[in-house]
Amino acid sequence: MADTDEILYDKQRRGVLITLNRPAAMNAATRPMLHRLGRALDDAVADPEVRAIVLTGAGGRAFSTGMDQGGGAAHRREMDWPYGVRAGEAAADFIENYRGHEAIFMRIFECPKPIIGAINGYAMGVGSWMSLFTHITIASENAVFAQPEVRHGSNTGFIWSLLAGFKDGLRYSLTGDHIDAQEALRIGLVNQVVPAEHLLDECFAIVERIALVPPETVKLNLQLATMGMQMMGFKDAWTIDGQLSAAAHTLLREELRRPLDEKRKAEGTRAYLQMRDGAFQPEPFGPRAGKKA
Amino acid sequence: MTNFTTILFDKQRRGVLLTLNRPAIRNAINRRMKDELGAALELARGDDEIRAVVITGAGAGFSSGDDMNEAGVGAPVWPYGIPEGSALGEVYNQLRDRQRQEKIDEQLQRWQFPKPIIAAVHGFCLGSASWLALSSHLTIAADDAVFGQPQVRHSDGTDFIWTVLGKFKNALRYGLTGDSLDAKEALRLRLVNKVVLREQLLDECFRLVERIALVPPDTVKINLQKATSGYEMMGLDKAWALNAELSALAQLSRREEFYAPLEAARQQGGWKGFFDKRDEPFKK
Repeated sequence: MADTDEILYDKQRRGVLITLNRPAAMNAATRPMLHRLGRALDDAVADPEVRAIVLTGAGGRAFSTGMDQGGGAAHRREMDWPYGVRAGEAAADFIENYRGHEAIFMRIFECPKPIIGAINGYAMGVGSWMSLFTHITIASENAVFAQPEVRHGSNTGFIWSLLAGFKDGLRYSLTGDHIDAQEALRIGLVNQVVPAEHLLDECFAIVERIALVPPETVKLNLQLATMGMQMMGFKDAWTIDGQLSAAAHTLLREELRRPLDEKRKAEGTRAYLQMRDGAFQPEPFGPRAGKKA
Repeated sequence: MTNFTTILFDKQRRGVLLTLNRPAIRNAINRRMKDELGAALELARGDDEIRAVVITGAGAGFSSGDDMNEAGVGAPVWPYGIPEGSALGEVYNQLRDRQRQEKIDEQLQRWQFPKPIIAAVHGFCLGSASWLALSSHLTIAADDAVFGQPQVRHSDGTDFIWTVLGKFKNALRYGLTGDSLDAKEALRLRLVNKVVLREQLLDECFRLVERIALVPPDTVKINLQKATSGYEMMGLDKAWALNAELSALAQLSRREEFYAPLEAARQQGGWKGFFDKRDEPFKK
């Protein structure tokens, strides 16, 4: 597999390091990037030298801040108000389009080789889902998890409820509040928290340990866990999650969404995010919260 | 607000406070309170100013659970433990209809309520009150909160919500014995989101209501649905349907040697006599 500019593929220590590589945009995801991530996983699965995969983000500030809210503006079409759909697009088209959008996460989950998330900074929205769908998740001390997109009328992912449990999943999903690495550990989103400088070494130490077990055994035991979750209904839950995501995106209200879109158009992404998040700051559980609350 | 007699309905800070209000009998939940709670939620559903609901209890605690004066189906006659002249099938039907009403028509409906329900738990929160608190979408506990399902000690059912939240082993540890647990243990088991000082409980809940109110209502509704229907897809509604049947069976499975002494204690010393007799062996 050739490196592309948005996904780096670097074999090492019995595994491969796959890096989300848009550091200037804090590794915000684009559709092409997610598509390439899928291809990189295929390559890793096909390569017998690769026993496990480590997934991280470039630049040290973020794993991924979620779907790109700014740079992808070229294909961002004007909303048709008061309908809250993009001009020329029927809600039914949107729902159909959306079906594929959540596939990458189940593809991570169903990958026949272990994927270890190395979460080195912000993991927001789609970035949080990529982190949480990995089979093992190690966070650096500066990791932050959140789904702030709920504040602009987007959706959460059921994987938060699955891992954190109903109440803690909802506590953070309903508000989009940030949480730091220690809270993520407490509620079960991650396996372990380590200093940033040890993150990749810790992950590859696990890869090397996994590589001591016969590959067929690893594959079967991975399936035992992931298929067990699916048999208990996780696959159905994720299917309805996709349907509700499409609904969330087609139920935008003009008075809530239009000012945000206009702000972004006039003043850019930073102003848009500030308008969206201002009322929620300071984040009570984020790393700058001073541990009160 | 309207003519509720067992609860209070008090709009404030972008939400509404529903207070279980029978403090003289520890906010015991009778049929009327269940009906009024349902009616209050319907009012809250239709009121755009209400973005979330907080439920608490008046006086010393949240609630001690179902009102025992309405429990059961009449004085048991042994060895079958059912009322004089009744048939097992008939009594089972009666018990299961009540259970289905409570688990499916009321609890599952509340679970699917389109606005977040936050339980503000202080003091005792036992039996069906624990189910009300735990099946709420968010639960904040005061440091004096006590949770338990002591009714198992007189042959009554537990609720699967304990297993969903507290997981298999922890839920069984407390469900099999009826042992109670404090706020700190409830936090460890993840039955509650957070523990705060008693005097800060309602303020903490309404700060959360106000924070939720910053998010668009449609988005809150969909994200709430994502979590609740996700659990339904994973089988929670079926688990509760089964739960209703098994709880009816639990109530029907009373054995003379366990239950007759409790009934005798009640006739002598009222409900206090009944509970003392029931709980005394567990205090050693």
